[in-house]
Amino acid sequence: MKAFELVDARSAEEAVALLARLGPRAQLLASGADVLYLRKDGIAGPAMSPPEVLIDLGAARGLAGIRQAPDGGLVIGAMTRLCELLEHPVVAERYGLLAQAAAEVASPQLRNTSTVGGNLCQRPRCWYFRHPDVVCLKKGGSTCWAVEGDNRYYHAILEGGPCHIVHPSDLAPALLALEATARILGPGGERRVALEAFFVSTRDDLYRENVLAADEVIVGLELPPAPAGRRQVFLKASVRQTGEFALASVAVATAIAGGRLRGCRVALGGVAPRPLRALAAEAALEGREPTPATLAAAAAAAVAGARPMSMNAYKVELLRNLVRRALGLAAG
Amino acid sequence: VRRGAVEKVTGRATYTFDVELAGMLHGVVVRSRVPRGRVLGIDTRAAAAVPGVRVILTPESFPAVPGRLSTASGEELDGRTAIAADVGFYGAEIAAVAAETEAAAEEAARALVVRYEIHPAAIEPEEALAAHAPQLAPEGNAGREILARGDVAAGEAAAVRILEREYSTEAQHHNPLEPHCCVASWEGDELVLWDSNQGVEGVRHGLARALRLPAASVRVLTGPVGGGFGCKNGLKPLHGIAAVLARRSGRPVRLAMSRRDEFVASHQRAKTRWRLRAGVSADARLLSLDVRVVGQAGPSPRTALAAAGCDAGAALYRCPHFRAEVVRVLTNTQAPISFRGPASAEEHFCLEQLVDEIAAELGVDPLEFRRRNAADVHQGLELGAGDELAGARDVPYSSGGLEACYTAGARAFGWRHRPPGSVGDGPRRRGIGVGSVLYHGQLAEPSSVRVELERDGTARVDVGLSEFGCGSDTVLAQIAAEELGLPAERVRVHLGDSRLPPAIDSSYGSRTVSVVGPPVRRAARDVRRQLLELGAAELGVEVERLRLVDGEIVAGEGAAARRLPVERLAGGRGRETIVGPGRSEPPADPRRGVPRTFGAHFVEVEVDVETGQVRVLRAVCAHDAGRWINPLLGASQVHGGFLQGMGMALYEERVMDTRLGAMLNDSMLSYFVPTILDTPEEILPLAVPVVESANSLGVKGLGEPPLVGAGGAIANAVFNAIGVRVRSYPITPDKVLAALGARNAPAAPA
Repeated sequence: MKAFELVDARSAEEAVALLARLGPRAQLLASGADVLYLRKDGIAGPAMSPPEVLIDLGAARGLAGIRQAPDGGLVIGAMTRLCELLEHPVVAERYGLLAQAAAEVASPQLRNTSTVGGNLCQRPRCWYFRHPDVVCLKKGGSTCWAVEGDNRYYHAILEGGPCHIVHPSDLAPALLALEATARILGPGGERRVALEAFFVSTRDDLYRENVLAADEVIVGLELPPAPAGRRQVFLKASVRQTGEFALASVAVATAIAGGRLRGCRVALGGVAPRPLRALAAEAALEGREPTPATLAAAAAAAVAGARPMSMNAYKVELLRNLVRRALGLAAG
Repeated sequence: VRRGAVEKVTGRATYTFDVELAGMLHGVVVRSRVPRGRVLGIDTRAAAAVPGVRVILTPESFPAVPGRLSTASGEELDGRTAIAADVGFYGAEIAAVAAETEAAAEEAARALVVRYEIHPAAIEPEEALAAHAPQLAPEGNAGREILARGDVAAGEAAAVRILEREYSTEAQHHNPLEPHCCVASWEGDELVLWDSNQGVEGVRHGLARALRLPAASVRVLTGPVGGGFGCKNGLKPLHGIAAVLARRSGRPVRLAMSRRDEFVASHQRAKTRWRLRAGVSADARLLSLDVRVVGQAGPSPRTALAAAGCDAGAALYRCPHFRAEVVRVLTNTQAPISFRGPASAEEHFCLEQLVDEIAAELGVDPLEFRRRNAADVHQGLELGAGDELAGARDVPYSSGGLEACYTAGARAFGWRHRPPGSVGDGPRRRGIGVGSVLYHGQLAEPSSVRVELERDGTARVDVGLSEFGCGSDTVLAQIAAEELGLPAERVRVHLGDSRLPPAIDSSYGSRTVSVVGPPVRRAARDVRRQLLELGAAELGVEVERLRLVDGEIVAGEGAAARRLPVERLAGGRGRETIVGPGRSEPPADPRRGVPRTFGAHFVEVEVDVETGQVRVLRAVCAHDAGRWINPLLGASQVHGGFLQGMGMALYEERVMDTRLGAMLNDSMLSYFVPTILDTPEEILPLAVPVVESANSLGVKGLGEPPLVGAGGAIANAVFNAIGVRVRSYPITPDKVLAALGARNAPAAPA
């Protein structure tokens, strides 16, 4: 690995100041699970220069930990480790979706070090993006190699193009379904962005997967108060039982009142360049009884408009089945 | 407890990577980033300026050291120099750097500016067979071999049913936990190489030959090895490169391969494509088998052999009319090398699906169909048989336990055939499957060992072999201890040093115990004889009336017995130590008994028809491996082999991009191997008792057959679960969903 300078940021404010001062030479480092891999593999291109300075957030005060908000919601620090989501009693009781999703991430070893913010900001797993010899569209090249190449696993069936990555985060769909808001700190102070608007599609920005500016730090996530009796299900499909990246994932959070689905949220991972809310599926469910036909119709709505690539048509069927199964489990 | 286990699990074992010599430099190999072409020049100026860089080797400055790869016995295999300008695959060695630190060596390697002349490449066999494909060898891209007996056309004419199917297997990478690593050090004119390998002798001879040194001037030292599975036999490019870097720098050099190097340049099992065609009689007997296999052979005809083979097809089932066309197609990919059950696993995975398909077509229980057709003699070939068995027809096996494996395995598994797709109506369907194994039992080789009784009454066994994880030291100690009447703790096994007697070139072909075990036993028996003779003189009793028990020579019974500790006779006070030389037994004549090993696997799987994911729930693996000297180590071989076969059947595949000529999934994050979460709840090894006569120990190999038997049984269980065949390995979710989708698709309108 090429040598780099490591700087400890003692607070989010200091990290922002360092980013502003060092400019594109610097990059944030959470646990390093992804940042260091990219560096070791020498992944670079015209739109992706390897940083010379890594700003370590590990020692930054106030970024880690889970606490309850005055309004009854939850605040999760960006540097909270994934294993903490599995152990926190309030998460288990009211935001179980998050724990379910965190449990599907990688391995216990990685969950012990990886952070919530890092998980949301990890780069895509497209094997052309990850290949040191390929200058793909996302790295500043002129072609998406996946279009005419091998696109069987980690490529888009929804919203793909001109770059066809999928967002790899398991946590993101769970947080979308829980209607999380990201708190972002920049030189001008803090802003709050609904997580749906935090992620960007490759049509809007080829080189970034989220709206974080070069001098901004994600400091935490806010979850609104949990409605009583909300049902939550996270499902993920992969080749093995092992915690590899998702071929597709789905997060469902819904209430059932008077036998009808209320406030149903469905979010998808691993199928599009950004984690997606399946709005058409949600609309097909709202206020209805969870009959098999309704759930199947919603699952079909979730994949409506899918445009699979040369080798991943199976993911349409896979996603439809996964959504229907998750809805069935949530309603059952 | 097996030897070395405590050191390994407590982190105290010293692997090659842990070897630290005074003044040692760190080497890095620079690899081609094009699949075919020529290095026109390498600008080394920037690299040479990196602080700490000591040597840079380029094709121009590298000596002519032919033989990147050797056979396990050290015969030159690949004529390319270890570092050369000509490039036949992405990852080929084109330069090397040695520096004071690993970081400096890597930085210098990155700073080399390589100019290539890029030539058109053929990555996949289909490309290489196309009309205007680049010619990779003067004799053409396809090498053909024909094996045959009888007349397939006549067999098909007599058949009531003919079934033709196509199958495929993918390139599988060895992925030992410990990547390749060596440390080279010149001590005067002698080269000492610490190395992670499967046999010190094969590496020593390969290296001496390549460097044009007398064999005695090369010493290979091997500590514990973190697995090999066939990829650490004989010479590999890193050995010669490390030796040259060390000579040029006058310093010891460590050369370690990264995980990515392991994927792009340590070679693998070949990718194969099969067309199998069988003719069957009305009473469900196999009449003919016509095989065509195409294997991906890499850039040179010299290394093409491991690309494909056909062996079990000619032997497993009684079949009067047989023909196989084995096509090895040159491609600009890494050359295939042996991998646990080389060529045989690929063949069994496909053949055992075909046999199952025939049984299903005929409505016969697949186990019953196998039993009805299993051959109880070696049928032989009229065309294409190896020298040893040329012209031999219908020779009995030296021992044959296939039927016993079927019986024992079926009983332990609880085999009762279920119609395909019959169990479960939810999304998770269960199915059962069976697969057979026929494998080469014993590849004989002259072997030399030495056993010595030391003056303290402990015994040492000297064997020039590498222990790469199978537990051969434990087994050889058991064999010697039994003969010597010593507790096993009093027997030490010295190995991993090419100065020890040459016990075996390399441990491949599941044969370490059958090659080295009998000489160890002979040597120990010789020591025993000497001991008893000395004891007889000492006690004044005839040799026949003495016994060796727990380190004592015993005369008489009960309380009146006289006891003489062996240490009183071995060495010290003017006595010589007692040494027993051990040589191979005269090999048994294969024409009187063909040595083969057999097995039968029974597997239950669960298939999620909504996600396409396959999970193996349990497996019973019955193996005829003669006498299992150490049942626990035998069971470990079965566990590991089955899981590696399961990986090949369900997950593992090299994904290439033909435009780049490069592997896309060259990382453990995208090349999927089974992990503990994928491991079935039970893999039950069954040792089937069989009396093997080809050696005095009655042993046969067990290292490879457990991998070979896994795939067919798993694929057949998948079919049994969902009623649809997936004929292309690995059986991944995309293929399962596609197969189910094709079945469920409404018929096209007429």
